[in-house]
Amino acid sequence: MPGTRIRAAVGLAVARLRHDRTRTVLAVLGVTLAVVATTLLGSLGVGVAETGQQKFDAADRDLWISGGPTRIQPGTIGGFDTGIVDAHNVSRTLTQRDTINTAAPLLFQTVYVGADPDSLDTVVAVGARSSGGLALTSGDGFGPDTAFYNEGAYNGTPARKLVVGTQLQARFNTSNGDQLHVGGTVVDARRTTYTVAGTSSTFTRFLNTPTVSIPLAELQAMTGNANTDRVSLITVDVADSADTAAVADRLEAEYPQYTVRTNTEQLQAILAERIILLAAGVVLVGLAVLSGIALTVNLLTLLVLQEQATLAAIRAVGVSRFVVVGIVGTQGLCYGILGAAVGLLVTLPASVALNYAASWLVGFDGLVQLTPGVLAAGAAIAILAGVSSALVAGWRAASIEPLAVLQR
Amino acid sequence: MSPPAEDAVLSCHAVTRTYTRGHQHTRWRSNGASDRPDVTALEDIDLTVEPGEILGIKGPSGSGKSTLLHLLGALDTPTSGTVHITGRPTTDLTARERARLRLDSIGIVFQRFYLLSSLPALSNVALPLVERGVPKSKRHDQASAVLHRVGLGQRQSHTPGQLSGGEQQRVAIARALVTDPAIIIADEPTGELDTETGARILELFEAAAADDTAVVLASHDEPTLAIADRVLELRDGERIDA
Repeated sequence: MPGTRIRAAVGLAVARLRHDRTRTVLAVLGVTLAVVATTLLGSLGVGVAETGQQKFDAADRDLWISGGPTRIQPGTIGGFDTGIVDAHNVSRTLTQRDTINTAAPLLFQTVYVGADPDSLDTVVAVGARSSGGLALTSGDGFGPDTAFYNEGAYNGTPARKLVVGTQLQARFNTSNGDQLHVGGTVVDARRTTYTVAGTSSTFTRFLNTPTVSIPLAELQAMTGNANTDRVSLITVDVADSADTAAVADRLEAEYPQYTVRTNTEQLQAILAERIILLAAGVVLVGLAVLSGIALTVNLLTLLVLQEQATLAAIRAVGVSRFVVVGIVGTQGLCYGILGAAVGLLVTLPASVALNYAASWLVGFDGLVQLTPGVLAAGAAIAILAGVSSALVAGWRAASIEPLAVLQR
Repeated sequence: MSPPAEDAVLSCHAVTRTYTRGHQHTRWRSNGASDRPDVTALEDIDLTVEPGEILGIKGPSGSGKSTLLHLLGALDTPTSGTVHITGRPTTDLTARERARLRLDSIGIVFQRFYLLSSLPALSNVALPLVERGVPKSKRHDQASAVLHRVGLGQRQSHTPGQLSGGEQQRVAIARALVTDPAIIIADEPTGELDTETGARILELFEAAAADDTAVVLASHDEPTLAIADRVLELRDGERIDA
């Protein structure tokens, strides 16, 4: 008997959904928006974290030593903070340890670059002791900067070689052996040329911006960081036999003025610097979810209020509260189930489109990564919306007293 | 408590219904106290209705017609006195038991039809059978048979919005008849219909009475009351026809 009544209530609810198509479409649309907002932003969050972790893993470095955040510093040549001093000595000291394979100083600065001295672009230049850490797609790169830098003196013969990032290579259409004007100032750039010695996507993909890689000492001299041997970062490759965390703790104790981070900590620090963006995303999802729930609850509750007298009459002829609530509640649950289905179906092509757009706009592939957890969260949001509307509308339907309504 | 009259499917003895003003539905007065006097909607009513009989109830607005129908339809219980429906005193029943009594023994027809606009006529008529747990195919067979009886055999799949007022009232009557009740309670059943359509609706009540169903009709429309075997007249909650 209860089974027959439940089946009948479900059947009647479905008939009502099919009849009230506009209402059904609107309610399902509300739930769908909530699901899609959740799944896409969740997938983006997962993708950003995964991609960031992959980038750090691909860099094959274990620790990142910095003198603070690498912020833009207006009004200076180079334009970025350089927090580490005496970088060559510090790197050499670190590399001499048994627990460390290599310590590589890196300098990030903005320089002027152009094939034509009268048409220069500002580009991020990465100073590295050699191009050995870069994945070159063409050319031989440049060797150690010892030809120019010697025991604290920046007085040798500069190599004047650089490796262009893939974005810049496409922009200038350069080939190995071509000359590019490079300088910390426009004047310097017009009178200084570097030879293209290779192409690499390593830093372009890591920083997601056009880059050139230049011997560290030459970039330091070019941007006024030679006096105190300043760099932005020292990256450390820890020996396989050593414990990375223990090495990090020891370095932090020895260099309290610097911040030592593991790959994961460095990624978290980068994400934390974008906390407002992350918070805005979370708020947007929250609003979408609340709007979806409010829309479905509102539509179903309004339906109950519209039909209050009819539902009272049905109760009056002997139909129980159980059946009336069953019909209304099933409608709410159907909104949730349909919203989940449509939302998850829409998520699949939307994530592909978003990935395509992200790849085209910012150069990162696979930035939106759908995971079972994210899809489950989207479905849970839809079910929450359905259950909420079922509970609220069901409660309204259950509270209808036939006599009280029919006496009005 | 007085026993029900023999053979009566419906009987009232010394029924009085009093409402406390300002108590019900007054949210801002939480203690239920009222400085206004109680209102007696019905006072000391006696009546019996036998199977196949059509009882008319007439009276002006506020005379107590609807209150009496609610008591006869087991939607409400008297403040004093007794109402017996198919031999059962309603005063002793819980709200759930009264709902079951309505489902089993009473068909109710309202002035405004009260059909679910999103369901076809067949589903509207079959609703009471859902409560009885009747399987779908049997439910639809029974509802279809009753719709044929009221002349809507060809309109079963139409929703209320696709039916005329008279047809909607026929659907409502079919919903009242589908459980094969002993009593039909009808409150102003022709109130929203034109004369010709109303006359056809009344024929359905006469047919039901011919099948031994007791019919209680409340109306202030004389042609409607003309089909009644007896007419009970109320004024200010009291019978004035005796």
